[in-house]
Amino acid sequence: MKILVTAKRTPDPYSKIKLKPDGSGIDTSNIKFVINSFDEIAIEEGLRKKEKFGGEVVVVSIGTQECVEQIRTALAMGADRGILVDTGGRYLDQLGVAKILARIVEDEKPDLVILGKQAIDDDANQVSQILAELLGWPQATFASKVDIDLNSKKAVVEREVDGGIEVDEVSLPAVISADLRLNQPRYASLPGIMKARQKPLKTVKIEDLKVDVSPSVEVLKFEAPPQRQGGKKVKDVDELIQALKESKVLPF
Amino acid sequence: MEFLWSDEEKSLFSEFERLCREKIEPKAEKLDREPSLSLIRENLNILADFGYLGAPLPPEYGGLGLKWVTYFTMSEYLAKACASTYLSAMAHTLLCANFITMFGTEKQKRKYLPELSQGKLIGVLCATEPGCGSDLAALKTKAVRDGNYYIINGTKAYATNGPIGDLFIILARCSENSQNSESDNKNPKSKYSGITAFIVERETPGLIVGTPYDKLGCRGSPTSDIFLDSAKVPVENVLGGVEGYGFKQVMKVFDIGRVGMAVYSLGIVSACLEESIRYSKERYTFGKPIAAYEDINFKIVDMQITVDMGRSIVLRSAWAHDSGSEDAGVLASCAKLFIAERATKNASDALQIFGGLGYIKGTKVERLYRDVKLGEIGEGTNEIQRRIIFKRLTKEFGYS
Repeated sequence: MKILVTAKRTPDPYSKIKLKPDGSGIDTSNIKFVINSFDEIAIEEGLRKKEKFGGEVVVVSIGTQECVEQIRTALAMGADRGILVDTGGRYLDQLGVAKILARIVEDEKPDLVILGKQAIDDDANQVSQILAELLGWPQATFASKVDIDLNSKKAVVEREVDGGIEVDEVSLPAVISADLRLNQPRYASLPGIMKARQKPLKTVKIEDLKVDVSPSVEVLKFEAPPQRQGGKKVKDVDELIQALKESKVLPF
Repeated sequence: MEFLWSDEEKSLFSEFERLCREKIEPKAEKLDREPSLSLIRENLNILADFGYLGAPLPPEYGGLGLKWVTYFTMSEYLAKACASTYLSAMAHTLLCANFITMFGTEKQKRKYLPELSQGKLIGVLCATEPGCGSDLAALKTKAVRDGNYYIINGTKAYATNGPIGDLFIILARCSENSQNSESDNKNPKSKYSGITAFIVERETPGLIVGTPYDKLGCRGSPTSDIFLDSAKVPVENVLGGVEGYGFKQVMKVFDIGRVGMAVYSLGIVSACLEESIRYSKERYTFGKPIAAYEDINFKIVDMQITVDMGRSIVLRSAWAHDSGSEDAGVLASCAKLFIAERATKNASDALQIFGGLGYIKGTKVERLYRDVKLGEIGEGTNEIQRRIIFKRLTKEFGYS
């Protein structure tokens, strides 16, 4: 089966984020970039399905030329080929990203698309849902287990919802978004990294896709969360209760 | 002169750094406290799966053909994460597998290197004996030819990986009457005469592995004596096929191994530096973090100097090996000596920064302080490094 996965370039979750002084974005000068952690889980799931059923894993990244680094990492993990959609650095909202992916899916005709449930930078959690809608495909988001039956062309997906685990059956092709507990992504191996260089990587210019990606969302400003103010020390329980009442934590 | 890593090398470093930080480092304390053969074997399997154990070996024998500069640069991450695991991996790759790569016959390479690369066999080099280490040529283990076999008798000491070893390279002296005329030591009275390296498999009758030593540091890497009680080794297992070259061979093997030991010390200082910076910002005395005091600063700066200078000299000696330079051996000795001496001081400083806490088991610098000392002993003590460097220098100037 042919599986399409995504690899968004996001800051390393362990890096310290600083804003640019003018608030136009984050200061990327000293930041390490990695594959979005949830996308990494999606890639791993794609590879496991390929190892089980055969076929091909295609990895897509949308952004500047720097995203080649993330595609190569995915190829080193075992994906077969990569597609970079070069945006020339322009801002895309979630609808724009989903439209581009829909366009790629039309060309590639995969049996399954697996994405991270959200990206760890903007945490939007929208692209997989919009993509399924644009394609008219069934969707199963927040997957923690995916079983595929090739004969009936169906996937049984366990989804992590607020009340517990929901089990859905979707017919293929479908869009699945990966949650944290779906799997533990592998490390790219040394031979894998060396082989990745030879694997095909196609760059597509965003203009050539002929998709309207003019954003409907405008980013006005980035702001750091307010600094935590120092607390105050109380003498005894009575004073504590008084203070809690004053700050309206206690309603009576 | 440019020093630029390729994108491939950069991703290799970042992936290996992550593997060491996430999979090896969390086990380092346990491995030190309760040394376990299965745990060290598990770590070596993780490294084998990544491709690290065969990284510098030739691709035609299952390796990846990595350059020495690349291999030693990535190795620092492992030495930093867990010195014990690094020592075992290094001894396996540089002292056993690389010995066979450098001097083995075609048949020996085909037979052993693929499995050594994949970590299916763990390699051991047995050179030192209870009565000789620095003066290796004084070794007493004897090999006597008997038809298609050699009968080997003797005791080997301080064999890294001994207790988990599958393949042993044993240095022994062939008896004079069986000396091969092609040998480079035709003078039977020479103390180097007849020294030969044998490849000995674990199942060989007469090969007995001693119990692991209880060591000061590097406790997770098992070390033991190896006893040879009339061990029967087939003639085709003479490393390189010809008797009498063992001493020259092992000296060449050590030339690379010493860069490996330099990286051992370097990784430990790198860990000391990280721990010291972290703790000196956290720990307050007299209302200020101790990082605000000059005497703490100087200790940390000394560690930084070791790390920076150490990396430079490791790269330079690795590069000398890559380019086949004649300086490679002296550079390796200089690198090992320079870093190891500073490292012992640096680790002591790191413990001092931690004060009482540093003296308690379970504090990382306490382990680093014990691990670091091996850098001044393993693969030639500081004293023998100085002799080697001076000997090679004076030879160049025609004094010896």
